[in-house]
Amino acid sequence: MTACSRGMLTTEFRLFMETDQCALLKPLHSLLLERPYLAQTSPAPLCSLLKSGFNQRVTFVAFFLLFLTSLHSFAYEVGTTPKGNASGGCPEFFLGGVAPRVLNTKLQPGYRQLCFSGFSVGYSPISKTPLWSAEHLTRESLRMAKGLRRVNAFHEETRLPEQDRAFLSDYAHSGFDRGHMSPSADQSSERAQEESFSLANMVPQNSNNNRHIWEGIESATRTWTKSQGELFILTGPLFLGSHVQQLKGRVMVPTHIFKLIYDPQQRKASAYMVLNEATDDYKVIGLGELEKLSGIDLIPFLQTDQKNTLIDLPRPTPHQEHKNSGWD
Amino acid sequence: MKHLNSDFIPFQNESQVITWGEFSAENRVDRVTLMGSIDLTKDREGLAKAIELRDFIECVIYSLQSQTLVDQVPKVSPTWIKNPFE
Repeated sequence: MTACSRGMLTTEFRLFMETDQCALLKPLHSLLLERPYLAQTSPAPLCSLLKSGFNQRVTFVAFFLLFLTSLHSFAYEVGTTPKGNASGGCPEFFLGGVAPRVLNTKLQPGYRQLCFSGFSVGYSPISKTPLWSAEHLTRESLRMAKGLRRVNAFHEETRLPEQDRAFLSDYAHSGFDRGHMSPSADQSSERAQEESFSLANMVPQNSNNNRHIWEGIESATRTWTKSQGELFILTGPLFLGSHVQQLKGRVMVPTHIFKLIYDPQQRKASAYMVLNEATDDYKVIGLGELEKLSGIDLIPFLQTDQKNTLIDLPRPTPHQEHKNSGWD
Repeated sequence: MKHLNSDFIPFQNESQVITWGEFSAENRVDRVTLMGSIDLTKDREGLAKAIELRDFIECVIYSLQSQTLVDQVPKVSPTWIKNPFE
């Protein structure tokens, strides 16, 4: 086993490589590269030996984050919401401070809301996915998110009872991506970013979809936030049709994915909706139609007559952001 | 702490993610997924990025070369169930 972390190679090798041409150094490069791997039977001491200052800093930050997260778990535990208060404990992510309400009774068994520092999810232990993930994006929060270096980890949501959680092993060998509902790149702090990798914020997503059309929708949403100043976003899966797919007999695969955007300037909302398959197609639907499909009152703060006007959503623009962002 | 370990050992787990700007590497037990975009600019920063990426890829190659490989890694297909929400 070999660790591919930054700082894996020796300093003298790194300095040497940075002052010469890669091609000319290939034989020496290979030799030096192989040297640490010869000790592969005991990777742990090898890693300590090779760890750079960077890795030590990461370790410190990681411990600190763990400390914060453990405090956070106590502070933010939220029970089932249908009978709880309207915001579920984190009103800042919802228009008017009111969290979505599940209307379809088949979605309700075990349904609960979880608050994180940058978003909130409504989680179903039946699908073992979120049914929605809510964010309140602002120009300022995105400015803070830009340039955050990310060394993160997908993880199981330990605040959920074990029998209700999705496991990392559920997604293994499936060919599906773990698709973020609230994206990591939207998060304005390291803690929020780390938390966005919780499986409570993931659905099994077609990999082509996740990396192209969906990435474009996420990018376009951030770009639009910067021009509008603030947006309320709800992202989630749809499970439509008489039969659906399931990973390892546990995690349900959505048939569609939506991203609902409420623009406070226009006081209206519309949603991108895509099939969960390799596609470049998307459609824009109104909030009223989306609520019928999802079985959830997604923005209870709005009156019914405010839910049926479409607004223009920007065209998805894959990989158009952060073209000049720094390395770290 | 376990899920925040920064040592990326290819194919060892389903959790680790390293991100370089808009470009990232995800560890899976059956694959290492690279996604996003990255500019290797004609400057010192571009060189530093290129070296890091090369080191990373070589590490993955070494890991692959160090084990017995099948022609194509098998996938577990999802099963169809009656939709519990309909």
